Amino acid sequence: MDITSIFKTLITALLVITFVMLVVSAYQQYRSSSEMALLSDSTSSIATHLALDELAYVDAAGTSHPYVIDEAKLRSLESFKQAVGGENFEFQVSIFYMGENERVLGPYGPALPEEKMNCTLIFAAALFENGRYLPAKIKVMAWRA
Amino acid sequence: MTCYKYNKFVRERRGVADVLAVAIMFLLVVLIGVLLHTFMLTPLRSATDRQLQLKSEYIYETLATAWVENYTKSYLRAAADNLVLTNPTVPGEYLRSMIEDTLDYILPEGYAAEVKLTHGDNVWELIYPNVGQPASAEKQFIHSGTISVIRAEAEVENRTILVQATVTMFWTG
Repeated sequence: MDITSIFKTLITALLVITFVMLVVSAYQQYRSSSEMALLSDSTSSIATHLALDELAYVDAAGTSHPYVIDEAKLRSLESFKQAVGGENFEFQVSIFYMGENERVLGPYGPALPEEKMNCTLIFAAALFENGRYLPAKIKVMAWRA
Repeated sequence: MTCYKYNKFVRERRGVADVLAVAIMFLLVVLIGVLLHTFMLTPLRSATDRQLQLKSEYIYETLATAWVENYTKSYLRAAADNLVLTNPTVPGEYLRSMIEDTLDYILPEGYAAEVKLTHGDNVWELIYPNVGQPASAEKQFIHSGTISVIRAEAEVENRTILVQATVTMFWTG
């Protein structure tokens, strides 16, 4: 075996190893990005459930106002856990709204455990405060329980 | 002499074939690498787009629900009044300034919004930040609905006017 053949064999082996490593790393990253996508969708689902149902302001006549957040309901929320797609998630909620300066309510819910993948979604909603509907931002941070 | 020349020719051909094979393998590895890394982010990009669509829906609903400061009318209802009524409750310039302030607060970073209300040929439009119309090639997150306006001075059958409202969120960079 001359030096050229050894060189060619080495390059071929190197290419095969690179290819295998590339496939393995791509698969791992694909799994990780799929998990992030799932977490993102679950956070959206939790946010929607909160804004349309659980935290929606209910007026004196008993009419529910979806997309209007009632802070009193958030303060009295008993569970910050929700099952989405057969998996359990925990979440934390904060409300930001405009006054002369930005005001923050919360965060409500358990503290974020260390080294856990989490997703934060900030979306607009109206906040019912002192008989007025104010533009506000709701921050929902969710992670797997 | 002839035999020597023949062997040399075969060896040269084999050498070229080996180099070609290695080059093709290298190209394949690069191509597969690029493809894998392009498609592997697809689920994440789709999830981001779904979140942005959700945000656009919530921006629409916030403008349709939250009241203009010092008034008891929502932003979109006040804009619809400005479009179809001769004497709207909220002055046009004040309303535009308030919607701009609110959009500045609730829009995700790097995004602009176009608020458009139409009734027949009449159009009320606001783009914030003022970056011009969104390019058709850009990804847009649109949410639309209907706002009803009561015109007190009109006859009973023409009293309720339906105005089409659309909020378009797009990337400005």
